[in-house]
Amino acid sequence: MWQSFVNIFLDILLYIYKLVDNFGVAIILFTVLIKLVIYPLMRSQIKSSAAMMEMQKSPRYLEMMEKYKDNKEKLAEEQMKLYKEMGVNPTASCLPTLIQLPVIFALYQAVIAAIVSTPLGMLDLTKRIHPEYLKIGEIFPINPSFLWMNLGQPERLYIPGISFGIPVLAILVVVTTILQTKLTMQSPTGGSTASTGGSGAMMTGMMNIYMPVLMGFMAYTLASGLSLYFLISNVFTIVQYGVEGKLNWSALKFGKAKTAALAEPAPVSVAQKPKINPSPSVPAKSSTPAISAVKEEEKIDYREFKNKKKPKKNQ
Amino acid sequence: MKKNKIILISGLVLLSVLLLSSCAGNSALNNATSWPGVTAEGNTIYAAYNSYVSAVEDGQKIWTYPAEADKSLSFYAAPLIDGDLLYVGTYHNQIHILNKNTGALVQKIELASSKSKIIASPVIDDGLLIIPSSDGAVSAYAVSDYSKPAWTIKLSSDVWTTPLVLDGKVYISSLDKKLNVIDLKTGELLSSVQTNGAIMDNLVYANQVIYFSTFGKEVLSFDPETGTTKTIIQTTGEIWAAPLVLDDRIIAADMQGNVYCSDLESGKSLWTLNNITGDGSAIIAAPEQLTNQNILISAENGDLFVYDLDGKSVGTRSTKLKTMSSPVVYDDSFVSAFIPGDSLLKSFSNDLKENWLYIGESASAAKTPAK
Repeated sequence: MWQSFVNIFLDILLYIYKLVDNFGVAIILFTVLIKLVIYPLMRSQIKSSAAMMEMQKSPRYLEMMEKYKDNKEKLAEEQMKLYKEMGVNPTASCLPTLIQLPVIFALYQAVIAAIVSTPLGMLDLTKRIHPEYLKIGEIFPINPSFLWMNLGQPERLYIPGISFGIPVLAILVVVTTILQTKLTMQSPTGGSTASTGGSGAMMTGMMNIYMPVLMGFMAYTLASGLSLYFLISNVFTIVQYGVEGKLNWSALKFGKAKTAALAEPAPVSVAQKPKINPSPSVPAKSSTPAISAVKEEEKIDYREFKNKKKPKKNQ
Repeated sequence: MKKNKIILISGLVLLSVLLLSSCAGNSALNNATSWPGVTAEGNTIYAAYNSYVSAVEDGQKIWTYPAEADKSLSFYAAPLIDGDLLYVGTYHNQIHILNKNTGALVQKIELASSKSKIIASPVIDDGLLIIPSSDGAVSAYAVSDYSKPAWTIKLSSDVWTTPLVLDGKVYISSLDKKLNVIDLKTGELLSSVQTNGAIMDNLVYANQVIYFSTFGKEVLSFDPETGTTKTIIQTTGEIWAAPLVLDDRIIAADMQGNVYCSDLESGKSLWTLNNITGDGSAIIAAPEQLTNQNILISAENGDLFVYDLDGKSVGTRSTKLKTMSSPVVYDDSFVSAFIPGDSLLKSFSNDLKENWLYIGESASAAKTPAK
């Protein structure tokens, strides 16, 4: 079953290779194809995240957080009710990520299977492709070279005068993973971070470190064909969010904070500490619910929930 | 909440481990391998497989090299016998020169790139040891001096086949569908002939002509005098195995289990056998002629078929093992090498009765509890 899945990938990858006669370009096109196929899912993920964020900024939600801050079970129960009423699926955003995991496994195995270096590997390849679509005699041997890389080997760029190889692709993968994680993350004051209090913040922080490190490690140690997939996939995701107008530039801390996601007043960024409103009693009137929500939100320091302390009213 | 954190972290770690272990597993599979390389001299069979080279006679081990297991060694190329010496290539681009009677290491030649592999046997001619390497390098060493190569040439693609030396020229195929001609003395590339498919097995020289099979579904002849190629047989499937050239006919087997026989002179088809295994199993091992003139075909699924020269079946035997190595014929018997299940080597008589089997070091080591 799994092998059949990998073999389909292998067929598609090699078919593209047959058309373009360049394995690196074939991997890039294949990645774009995969991303286009899961585009509807990604789109629903973006929408779901935005809807979640909107909901979590609503006065009702904030009141609920305040009301049940000492009763986590009840809070969870009320949250679920609210999700249901608002038609928001809190797990919807996981689906595209989960779908990509087997794709990554399969692509890696397909890349390794395609770039054979032994007779047994070659024999294995001849059995895995479908002869109705591909003639092994026409495409073999597959040239694994792309730019300075051998796509079947971990990538290093050797520069005269430097005694070691620079893992350019791994560095690019780390950088784009950080960019992607930050740019596509919804603002924590309204996003999932707030919804789960401390654990959400912790998770966000952990993902910010964990994912780039993991992806960088894999790009450093595994075949560069897979690293190329990671890189193109990251870039495509960022572009995709940009096309949807959902890039969270404020997360980069460059200049003035903006949140394209709402096209409305910016929520507090990850790096900004929520401030305590010195006069919390009366919510300011607002022309829009979003502004109102931001004002409302300013009254509460959600880190206090994490630490199980009462919110400070004044400093 | 704390519980959720633990579950989340554990899940991510588990996912990463799964991902990495899956990738590493595949990678290890890819690096493992080929099938045994076998050579015979008299009754002695020399087999190179995995970490060992073995000399076997009548199913009894004479010696094994190395004496102690060394996981860093991988031997798959068929050993070359020259005088009292045995030359065996490794998957770390080395040639180990052994005393063929004792298995003692005489000398070791280390080629430039240790990441490359010696997949095919070297050849000795005119005082030169010519070594093909998977990185496309072909090196020639004077047999009197292995300290440095007399010449080295880098071809345009991997080399998986044994060079053929004729009249001061080295003929060798590279995986980019080329038959290359190199000057034996200088190592200069004289010419390259493009074919329709990669040449996976050795070149065969007979009647002043070189014959070879290609992945382009054809058997070709190459005339060294004129430098011209001619299609002798066109097949349904890709062909891995080298053709068998007899006095007046040529026999080839493809990867769909079809066997073809054509007149050597005219190229006219004499007979064809379709899908001899019944399950489309590939034929990777080259056909061999037995001492009784019959033809032995070894299918990948371990089935052995014997036909007479007219293509009539004489005998069949299923071994239920995998065989891709070309069998070696000696006396009135032949030896097939298998990807070990219960044995590495099996000897059969011409009428397919089993003479003996040799379990092999890798298999026996696997059955010995670790100390």
